[in-house]
Amino acid sequence: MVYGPHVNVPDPRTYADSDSIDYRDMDENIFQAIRFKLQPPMVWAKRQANLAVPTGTNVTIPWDVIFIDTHRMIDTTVDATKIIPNVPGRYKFIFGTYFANTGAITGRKVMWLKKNGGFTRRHERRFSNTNPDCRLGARAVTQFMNGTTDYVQMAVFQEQGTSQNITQVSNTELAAYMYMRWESVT
Amino acid sequence: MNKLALPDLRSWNAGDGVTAERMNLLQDMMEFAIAPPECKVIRKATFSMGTASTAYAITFDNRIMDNVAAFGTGAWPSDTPTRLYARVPGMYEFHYSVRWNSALEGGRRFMFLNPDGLSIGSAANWFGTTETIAAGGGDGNENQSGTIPWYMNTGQFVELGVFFDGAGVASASLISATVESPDYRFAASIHMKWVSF
Repeated sequence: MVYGPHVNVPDPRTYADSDSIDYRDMDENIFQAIRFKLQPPMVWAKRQANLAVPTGTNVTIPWDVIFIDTHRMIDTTVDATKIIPNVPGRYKFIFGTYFANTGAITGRKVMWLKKNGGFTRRHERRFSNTNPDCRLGARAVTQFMNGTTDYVQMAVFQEQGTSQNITQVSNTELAAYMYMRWESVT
Repeated sequence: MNKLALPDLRSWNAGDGVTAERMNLLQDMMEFAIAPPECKVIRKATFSMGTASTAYAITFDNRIMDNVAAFGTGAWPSDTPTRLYARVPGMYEFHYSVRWNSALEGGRRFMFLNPDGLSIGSAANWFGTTETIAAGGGDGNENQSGTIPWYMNTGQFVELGVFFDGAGVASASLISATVESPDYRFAASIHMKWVSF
């Protein structure tokens, strides 16, 4: 799903009495500005294939299904891990992952939101007993992105002692997902 | 504006004058942008889960708000109190929570959304799942919250589901809140909001 025409945040302006107003003012400064709010920049990336996560190692997730990318913010031919917003603003991120059923998961399981390669937000679970699987899911954070060089990734980490997979259970329970939506100018 | 229909995403073209029709289109778009369809409902009363390893859909018992209801059947019809319906197509974001009884020590606890009448007992149908585990020893009541987007067509619905596997459990229920405020610490809550075409 790709739509437009805006890839820039609408530019608010103030009119003076002496301004002559034509259809472009009505279209670009009013209609399209509202349209931008009704169709904000958005990405929904999924990881469907299994991905091995060695113990004690941060693994950045390459997305293999791009469900929504309204403004072409992921180029999987260049780097399938990066979402590079081309519209500046504060974005809302929702992300989650699923560690496979191995019969006995122990130790920490962690997921991260990475901004520009650094680890910014994380969600962690620590296990004190035996569990057949592990969901880290449905967490929301916000980050400001400059619309040019800033990018985000998602990483996972675990310390079971052996390599573990994140894996897809069904079309709704994914190995991992990242949803991003433009929220506001600042 | 009627929230049972999406606004017409028109452009303003060369030669278009300022007419009431075009200004009303503009008004509809603005109103939809600043007040999109949304609904929040809660479960105040204790919700009993009789059987371990069985999934249940929460029956909500109070409506905080439903701005679609003023235009017809709202997002939360009274005859299907477990369901939140989309009355217009689009991307929706859901925020949801449950509060588990302190007696429910041990075992895993799941909270999830269940789409469109699919079998709630099949974990393969769940989405937006969050999972916790209580280690036992008097951890007290435990709150779970989650957020997830979901694209819905008109007439589709979701339910808020809960599940526990029963390991080490003496009793099993979500706990009803002692109501200190109308807006938090309920047994369960869900907020659904349209965010995009």
